[in-house]
Amino acid sequence: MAAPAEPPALAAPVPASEPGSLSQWALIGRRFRHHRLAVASLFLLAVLYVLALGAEFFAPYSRDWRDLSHAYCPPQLPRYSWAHGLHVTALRVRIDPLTFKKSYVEDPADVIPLGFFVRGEPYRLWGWIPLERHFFGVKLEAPRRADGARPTFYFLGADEYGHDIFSRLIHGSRISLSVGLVAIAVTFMLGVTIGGISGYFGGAVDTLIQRVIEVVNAFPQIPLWLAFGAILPAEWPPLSTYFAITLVLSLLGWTGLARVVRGKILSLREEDYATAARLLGASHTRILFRHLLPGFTSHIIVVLTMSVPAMILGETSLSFLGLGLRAPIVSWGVMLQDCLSIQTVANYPWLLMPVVLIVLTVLSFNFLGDGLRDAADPYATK
Amino acid sequence: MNFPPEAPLLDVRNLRVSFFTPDGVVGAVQNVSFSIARGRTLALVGESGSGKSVTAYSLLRLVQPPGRIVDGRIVLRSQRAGEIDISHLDEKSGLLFRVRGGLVSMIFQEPMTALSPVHTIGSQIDEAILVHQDVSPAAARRLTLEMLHKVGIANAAQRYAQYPHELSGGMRQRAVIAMALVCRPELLIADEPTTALDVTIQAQILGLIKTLQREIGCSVLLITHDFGVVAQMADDVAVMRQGEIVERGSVRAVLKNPQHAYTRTLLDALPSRRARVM
Amino acid sequence: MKPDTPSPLLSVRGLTKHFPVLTPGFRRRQTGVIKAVDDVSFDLAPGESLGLVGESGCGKTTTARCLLRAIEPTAGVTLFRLPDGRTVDLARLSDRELKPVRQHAQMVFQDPFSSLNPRMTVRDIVGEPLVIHRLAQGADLDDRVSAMLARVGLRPEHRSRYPHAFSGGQRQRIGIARALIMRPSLIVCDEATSALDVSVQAQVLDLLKELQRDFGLTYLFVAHNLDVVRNFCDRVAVMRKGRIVELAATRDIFTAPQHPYTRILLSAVPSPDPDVKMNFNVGEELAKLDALTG
Repeated sequence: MAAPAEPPALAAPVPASEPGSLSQWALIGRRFRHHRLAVASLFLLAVLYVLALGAEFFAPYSRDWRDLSHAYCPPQLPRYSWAHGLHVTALRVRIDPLTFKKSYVEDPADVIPLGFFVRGEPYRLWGWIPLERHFFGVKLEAPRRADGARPTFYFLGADEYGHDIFSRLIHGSRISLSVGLVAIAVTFMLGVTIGGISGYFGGAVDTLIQRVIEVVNAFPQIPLWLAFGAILPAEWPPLSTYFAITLVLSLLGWTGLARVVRGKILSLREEDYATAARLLGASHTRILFRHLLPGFTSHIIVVLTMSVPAMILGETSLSFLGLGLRAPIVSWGVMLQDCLSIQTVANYPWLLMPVVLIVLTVLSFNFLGDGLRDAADPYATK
Repeated sequence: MNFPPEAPLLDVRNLRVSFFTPDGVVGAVQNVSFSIARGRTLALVGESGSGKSVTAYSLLRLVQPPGRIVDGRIVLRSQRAGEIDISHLDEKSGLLFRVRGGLVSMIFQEPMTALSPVHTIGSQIDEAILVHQDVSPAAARRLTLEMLHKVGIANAAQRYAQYPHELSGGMRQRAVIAMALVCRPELLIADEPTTALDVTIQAQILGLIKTLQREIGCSVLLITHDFGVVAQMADDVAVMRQGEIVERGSVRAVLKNPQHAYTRTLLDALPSRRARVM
Repeated sequence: MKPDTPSPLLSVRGLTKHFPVLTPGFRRRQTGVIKAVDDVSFDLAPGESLGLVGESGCGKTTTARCLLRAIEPTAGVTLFRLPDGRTVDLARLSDRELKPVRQHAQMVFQDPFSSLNPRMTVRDIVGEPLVIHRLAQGADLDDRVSAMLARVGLRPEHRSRYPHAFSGGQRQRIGIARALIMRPSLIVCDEATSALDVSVQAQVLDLLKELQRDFGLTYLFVAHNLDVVRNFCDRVAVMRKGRIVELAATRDIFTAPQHPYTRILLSAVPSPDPDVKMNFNVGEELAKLDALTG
């Protein structure tokens, strides 16, 4: 029957100086900090979300700003010299007289000075605070161009209409990064409620819910998306489309979480401390919310973190296929619609910049989830 | 190979094992020395965390990182393979593999530690034979059936084809004992072999170990926390506390007339002794 | 010794728990029953300790859990006398009626690791019964938790710590504090010391004895270790295959066991005295016993 508390196999003995009053969260934090890749990912994600939050400020240009004369302008890397400080040199269009092929050549004489916290287009931060300083861009005192317009600076190049890709990436991240979070919030509510009911009550309810989950999981995703995309009326305002997309994503995504919640509740229900609470006279709600749910909030967080990338990819795929968001809304997926032809991609590879960001974001969320998972159970040995 | 009759089978000298954890170095076994004579049983007794299991694991070089044998010598004087210093064998040497399971074998508290859930009992014991002996598969099967019968498993042929989860806890431990002894090891290490079992099953398993030990003529290192098991099974006993051996001697001497204060405390804590006092 | 006790604290009659055996698959038809507890009856006098011993699967833990309705019994009567003199049938009370009764009957669990919620501080764990039954709050709650912790040998400053900071013995003390803070009259100890080292086990047993004297507790002490029961209990019931095969005063059980199974069980315990040989031959004897009883 009972074995004396001999450590199973040869786990490292616990050092005597185990801090006793650290809560579970403090312990998770301690272990998480050992996971360098996860910490770096968390940092990168924080940067991305701060950029998205202050998009108007961090982007040198607004979402719809464009300069048609610089269509498909290549990226301009800022340089530094004593004489001019941080600067780029202007690009002039040259059209090959025989092929009519457009190309850009640098004009070393025309120096465009760059700076931080420069005045630029006025905007309202979060549609509310009127500002005109941008984090970084062309200095106001830069000499005007011959046509009277202000000189331009395309950090990551321009698209077909002369939009600044860098600025649009930042503006687009607002949609792309938040879609994941909003969809996750809906997923969380659906998953915890349905999974909780399934696990706590068991029996026929449980069986029914499990079958429903299997059916939902069996749906082929792309055709389902196509169907949903067809249902969404094209004349809907962008905001409604956005929420419809998140709803579609979470309607397919809650099943995984529901299963985790159900499994955890089923196993924790059998723990002695749940029985103890019942024998003390605790109510069902108290057992569920005070004893069972806190036992796996960390697991929920991990599952949610791991499923954010799927949501982000889902939005990107939908928009790329033209089923999701449409211009003038900018998201990473919408931007990738420009890359539908191989010619564009071959000639103007900078149009693929959203892919770099998507990959970075998805990897970061995965590493973060990994780190959280490793840290989540402070009682398990590594 | 012949050794003078007084030379013990196993000599452990100044063994030290430490765990290098992120929070500091923990000395799990500190300067432990003991020896086991041929055909005798030594019990290593202590409470949880005393280092008795780590000591047993290090005899087969099974201590996992962050744990490491820091110092000491473990000398096995094998009849079949001569004198071997286990503590200095290369991790990948063939000799170490011959020692593990061939010359020295081990049974665990939880039989499922040693059994694979996806293979039948019979095929696992066959495997142990084929690894260590140069016999045909058919001969191995014969040996396995014979061994299963010896450890008291009825319908050996039927059990041969069953998976571990189809057996009761007691039956599983019997199968593990069969697997450990089928190569006729010179030393059997038993790590709390009956702790997870009921008393009536425990009695049968202990009796089985005693009978087979006599038949094979091997020595036994018995790791336990139970002085009852020590008294009934062992010839000699070493009491461990916090990684050190505090008292050593014949079972009768130590249990009847303990010299060290810690041994006395442990014996006084036994419910059966307390019953007499009260 | 309590030769005859007029009014038992707990009176169990015909307690039975059957688990259905279901076919695997979707339809789950019932093909039979496992009689985990089969017609168990005993009385528990106020202030006594009754040991319930047997091997794994004999139904002793199921019996204990059925008494406190952690598991619903299939049949039987469990009459429990409340401090105000009323007698209730624990087996028949509804959940609502059961809640106030739970103040008077509590359980101490076997596993000191899984019986305490790792996400709660000692203060919350020990104080939870008072919160559930609205017996105390605020500073009063704090004081009562501190007093109870001191009573079981822990320090009041341990309140803000989490269970993982304690050793097995200390955790078991926390579990005892939780069970005792409502001043119950009946404590069911389900293998309360089985997971502990010998020396710690002795300390916890001493504590339980002491608390029994001070609070006038009645224990139902479930154990597989006969030695523990011998030291601790006034009477012992030996269970096998869901039934009580022998119930007698502790001394009689150990010196003059009447039932052959009790004799086999006692002979199988390895004695720490090298001169008292244990019986290695219990396998055949049990088989013989089974052949006799059918």
